[in-house]
Amino acid sequence: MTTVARNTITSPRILINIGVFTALYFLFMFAGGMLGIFHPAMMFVGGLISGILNGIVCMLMVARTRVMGAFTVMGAVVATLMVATGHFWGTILIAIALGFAADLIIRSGNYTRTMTNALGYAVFSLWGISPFLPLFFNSGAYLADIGNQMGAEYATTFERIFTAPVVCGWVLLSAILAFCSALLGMRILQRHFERAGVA
Amino acid sequence: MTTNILLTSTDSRIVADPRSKFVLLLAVNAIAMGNSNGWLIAATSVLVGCLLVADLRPGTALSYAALVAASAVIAELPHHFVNGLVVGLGVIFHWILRFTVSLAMGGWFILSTRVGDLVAAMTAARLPRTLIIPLAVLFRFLPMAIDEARGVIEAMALRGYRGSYLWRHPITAMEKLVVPVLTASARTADELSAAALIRGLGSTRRPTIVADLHFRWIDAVFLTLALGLAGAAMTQAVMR
Amino acid sequence: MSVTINDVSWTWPNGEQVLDEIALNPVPGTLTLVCGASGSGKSTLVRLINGLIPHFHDGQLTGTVLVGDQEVADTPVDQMGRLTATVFQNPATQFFTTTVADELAFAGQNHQVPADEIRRRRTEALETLGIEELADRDLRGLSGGQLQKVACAQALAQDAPIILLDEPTSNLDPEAIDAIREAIARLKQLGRTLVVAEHRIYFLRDLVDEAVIMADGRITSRMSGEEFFAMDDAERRNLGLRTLERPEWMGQIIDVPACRTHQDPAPESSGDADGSDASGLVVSDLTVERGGHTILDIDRLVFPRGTITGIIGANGIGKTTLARTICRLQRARRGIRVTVNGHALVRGQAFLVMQDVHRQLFAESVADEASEPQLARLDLASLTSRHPLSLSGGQKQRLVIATAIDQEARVLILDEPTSGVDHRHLLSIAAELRTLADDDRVVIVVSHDAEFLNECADRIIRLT
Repeated sequence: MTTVARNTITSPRILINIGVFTALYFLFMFAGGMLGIFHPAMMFVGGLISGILNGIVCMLMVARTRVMGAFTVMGAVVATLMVATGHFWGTILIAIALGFAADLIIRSGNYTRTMTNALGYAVFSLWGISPFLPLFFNSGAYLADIGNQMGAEYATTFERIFTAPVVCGWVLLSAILAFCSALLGMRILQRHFERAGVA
Repeated sequence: MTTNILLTSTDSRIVADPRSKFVLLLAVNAIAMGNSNGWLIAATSVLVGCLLVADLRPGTALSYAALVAASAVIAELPHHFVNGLVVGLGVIFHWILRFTVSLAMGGWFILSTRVGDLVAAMTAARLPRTLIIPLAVLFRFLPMAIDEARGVIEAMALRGYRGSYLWRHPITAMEKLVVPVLTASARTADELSAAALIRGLGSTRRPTIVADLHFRWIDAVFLTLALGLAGAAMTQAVMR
Repeated sequence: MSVTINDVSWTWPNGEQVLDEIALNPVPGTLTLVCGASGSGKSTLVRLINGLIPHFHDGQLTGTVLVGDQEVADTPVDQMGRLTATVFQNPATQFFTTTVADELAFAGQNHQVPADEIRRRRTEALETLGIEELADRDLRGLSGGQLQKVACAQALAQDAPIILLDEPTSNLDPEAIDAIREAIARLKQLGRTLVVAEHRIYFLRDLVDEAVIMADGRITSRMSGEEFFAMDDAERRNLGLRTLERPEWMGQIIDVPACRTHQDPAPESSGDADGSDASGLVVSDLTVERGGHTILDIDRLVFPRGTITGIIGANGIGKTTLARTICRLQRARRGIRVTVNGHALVRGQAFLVMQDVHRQLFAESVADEASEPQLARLDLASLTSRHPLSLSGGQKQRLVIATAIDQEARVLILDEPTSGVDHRHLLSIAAELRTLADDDRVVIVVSHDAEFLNECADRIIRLT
């Protein structure tokens, strides 16, 4: 019933919608993270729940904005808040880059194709690794420091745990989970939000 | 004043421009997340401790100090006893130390900055509107989103969607939570947009800045500290 | 500055025509009241003047709207705020910032008003409405009445000659409504042109210059303020209007202290003489603490079955907390006993119809949400294929009641069921509650609305 078409990323209407959905994204991300406090194993469950809820959030955002740049802005806002609360500064650059990539993918499906929307969300979700990147890149220095005293093999073992396979596995797993969450999000979009008149 | 997770007004003692606070935060972040070690990380953690003492409750500063000190000791252990367990613990606490320093700095930044001042500072720094408006909306909407989610969870409990139901049907339960929350949020977004639009949001010219953002001596101190930390980190990197 | 609406019609994209050949020309410096049933087009009329139509909503507009000598459709929407300021119904969604000070600066900032002038207008607006003490407050934490006063101050600080109010009292208690009357009177004294769309009208007595009554998108009658408030009760009901007099409580009010004083054992503070009869809902030894403070401490309360009990009391006294405790949404201290007809109340037997009914609907369609007989009884049978969240507020409320009956709730508690409803709807809610009570249920209504409680409550408990 209200004007959604003929908007660009600079229209206040679009920016306010992105703000509202980014708040929900942040809330669900935070709520999932809180589960990790109770038990380390819950960290995985919490991350999974956050990913599913936010898949739904992002698919509704796409349906309501349908402009190039929505994920770039969401990435910038979420990452600004992450850095402002003390997370790795590189998160901003990575989240903006991944957001932009997601926007390109989603635009290629004209904001409505299930596969491209889901793929876009999966790509965007990978920013979640960036706060932990220092662990992978900079544990070496600490280990090298110890390595002087204890011989090289300890250092290399630990270094290996913290590098390539772990990162790749994590990337792959979270991308698949995010993709499935977005598929669920698209289903809920059709079953609920379009019929409730908000998408 | 109120104590939300995101404060809108604070009683902080250090009154500085959010921009200089953020520059200092970035310097601390780069050191904590980087390769710097030894006296530099120690100095940074002391600096953050001082900010906590100045602006937050003494209890917070005390637990910060305890955590940093304990982590530093454990991270130092592998230099003296070398075995798998000790090295593993060393790596973990090496990072706990660094994340504590960086997250505490972030906590201080968020808790000591008024949302209005942050938005004003971002406007003054000529950051794009596409970033400022969503961020302002986020701070405005987050408490409402929490209320909404809580309310829906209560409504679910009234209908018997609680306890074991949530574990037996996790996806359905999430759907029942998310659909009312998102529908209400979407409507709120429309109402917020309508009310903001007819009060001139979206005018292409830069809005007037009303907040008091002049350069104070404390800003000079923060910027000097940031510069010093960055310089020291670079020197350390070159020396290695 | 004048407002001129010339033969305006407005049709939503779905073909629903909500305004039909409207012509209205409020005199500068006067207050025009627009009333009529829900869906009669009151809010749409307001949106015509503030520019949300056609700049924000899509649809088909014919005719012209002039504010001063500017045509609204040709004025950029971001400049409309220099001409009109709007106070909306819902305090939760009309503010853009988080503090009173920021909110009163917001419009001026966007209009590039110099900072000193913004500060001056802000101070002046707060002083004019007598709310200087709110200057440094967060918006969160203010009461509904305070928020609407801030919204009025905002409209004043916006420095627009025309101020529109769209159901400003929907969510307010009687004292707050009196305060809003004062604020509106001040705005009128200052020479602003005011247009108020409202269901609740008594509080505008002696302020209205012209009253306009709408039905189905047309203006069906217009009269002077004196004529309007001189209408007799039959005529008023005939037009579907809510009361013209400030409603007073009728019948006996039972005072119950929210926190008992332990010196006196309060033998019959039960709220009912026949406390020994255990039929209906009996709550004993209810103590609720929050943040170290005792907010409720009640010895014994009885709500007989088959009757409607109203709960009233000042804001923040604990009415909603009491309702939530009975429904087990709020933890009480151990030792609380809640029985219904002599048996301990089982979870699910007490149901709360919340103020935000949209939170209580979960299914994909109305048919999946409640059983067929209930849908038929509550006049929802024709809507079975719709999504529950696409219904109107009143329909959602009835659907939630249907779900409560389906799960065989013996105790139904409604929290402010009449915010923002017209007279016809008010009567239909009252009739529905009577049916529920006649079916031998315990019905409890937490409400500020004296007009509504006079219509339906058998007894009233006031928390003090």
